[in-house]
Amino acid sequence: MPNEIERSFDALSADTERGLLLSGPELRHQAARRHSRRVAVTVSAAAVLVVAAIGTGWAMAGDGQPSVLPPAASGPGTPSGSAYLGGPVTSAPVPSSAPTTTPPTTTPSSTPPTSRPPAIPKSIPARALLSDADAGISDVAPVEDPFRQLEFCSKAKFPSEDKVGVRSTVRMFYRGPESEPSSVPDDSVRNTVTVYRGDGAESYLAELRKAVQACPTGKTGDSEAEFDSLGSLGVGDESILIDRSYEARDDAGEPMNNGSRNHTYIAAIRVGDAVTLVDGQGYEGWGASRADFTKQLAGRAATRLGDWRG
Amino acid sequence: MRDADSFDEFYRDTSARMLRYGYALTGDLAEAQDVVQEAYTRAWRHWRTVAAHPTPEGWLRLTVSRLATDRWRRLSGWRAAVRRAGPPEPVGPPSEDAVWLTAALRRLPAPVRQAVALHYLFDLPVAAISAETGAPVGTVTSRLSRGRTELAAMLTPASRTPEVKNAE
Repeated sequence: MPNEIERSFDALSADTERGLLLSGPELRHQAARRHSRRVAVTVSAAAVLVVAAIGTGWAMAGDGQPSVLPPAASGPGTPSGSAYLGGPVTSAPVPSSAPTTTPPTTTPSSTPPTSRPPAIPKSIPARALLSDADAGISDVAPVEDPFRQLEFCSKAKFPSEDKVGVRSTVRMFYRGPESEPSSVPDDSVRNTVTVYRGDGAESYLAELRKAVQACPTGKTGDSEAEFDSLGSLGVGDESILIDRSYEARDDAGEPMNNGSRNHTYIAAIRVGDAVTLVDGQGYEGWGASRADFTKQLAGRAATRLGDWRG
Repeated sequence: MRDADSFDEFYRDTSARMLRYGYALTGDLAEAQDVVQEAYTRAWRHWRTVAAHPTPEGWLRLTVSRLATDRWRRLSGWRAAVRRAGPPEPVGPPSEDAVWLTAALRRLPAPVRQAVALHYLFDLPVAAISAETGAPVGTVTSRLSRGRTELAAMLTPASRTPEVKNAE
C-alpha cells in the first residue's frame, strides 16, 4: 500500500508545520554564546570539561561526524543513589538485624551506652543535600537508580560500601556566576549523602585517597581519565578534592592534540559518620571551574552536611 | 558576514525538511525541534567545513540521525528541562495521520526507519541512502522493502481502529 505510506508522510510533513525553529540569526547567536563561554573557561582556568568520557559530552562516532553523548548520563563512574527525601531509602542491614558475629561497633545492643555510636537516621533529609535554593543550582531531582561507585581503575576498592547505613542522591544543573539563568548549564552534578555505620565514613575518605594514588589513570566509560588529588578543601572533619581530567577535545569531539586537558572535579567531605560526595560531571564540553566548584558546590554541600550532622 | 549569510540561506532552505526528518526519526515534534536545532548549531560552529562538504544537507541529516539515537532519547526528558533557550513547544495537537505514522515508524528498527524516512521525505535513491548511511546497497534495498511492507500493514485502516483505542 505505497500510496497510503506516501499519504501518511505527506500528513507528517504537514503536521511538522506545528513546530517552530529559531531563526538563523537567533540560532547563530545562541551558538556563539555557548562557544564564547567555553573559550572563556578554557583560557581562564583550563577547566573546560569535556564530558565525552562520562557520557555527557561530545564524542566522535563512525566516520568522524560529531555525535553527542547525553548530558547528565548515569553512565559508568556516575554516582547515583536511591532515595530522596520521603522517597525510598537505600538502607544497608541495620545493626539490630546483624548476625551475632558482627563486630562490636555495629551492635549497639552490646555496646555500653557511653560509647554508643550515633544512630543511623531513617532517611537523608532534603536540607542535607544541595538544592535549588543554593546559588547557581537548578533542576534538582532525585536519582532513583542504585548507587554506583566512582570509577578509577581496577585497583580502587571500596569495602566501606558494606558499612553504608543510609544514602540519598540528587542530580542537578549548575550555572556559575558568569552564566545567565537562561543559558545552558555549566555543569551537571550529582550530590550523594551517605551515613555510615562504624568507621565507614573515615574508611571511605581513606579509600578515595588510595584510589587516586593507585590510579593515576583509569577508564571512565569509554574514555581514558587521569586522576589527581588536589588535597583537602579545609571543610568538615576531613575532605578531599579530586581532579578528573580528559584529553581536551574541540566542539566536534576531535582531540585537540595540543596537550591541553579538560577537567572535572569530585569532592568528598566527611562530617562525623556522614559523607557528602559532589561529582561534577560536566555538560556538553565544559563545566564548573575549580573555583566555582570548590566554593559553590563543594563548599555549600559541606555546610549543608555540617548543619544537619555536625 | 559572508559565512553567516550563506549559513542563514542554507538554514532557511533546509531546516523545514530537516525538521520533518527529525520528526520521523524521533516520533516527537518537540524532541525533533531540539535535535534539529542542535544539529544546526553544530553545523554553524563548523560551517566552513560543513559548507565545503560534498553534501552539507547530508552532513546535517547524519547529525540529526545520530542525535536521535536511543542513547540520546533516553535522556531527552532530562535535557528538556533546560531547553528554555530553545524553540517554543509545538502548537496544537498532532494530526491523527501523523500520530499513526510516527507510531508505526517507532515500531521499525532504527536503520529501517532511517532508510524509509530518507526515501519518502528526501526522495533519495537506494544508492544515495547507501552512501549516506554506509550500508551496502543490498542492505538498503532490504530495509526499504521491509519498511514498506511493515508500514503498509500497520497503516491499513483495518489495523488502525484497535490500536487507536489502545493508544488512547
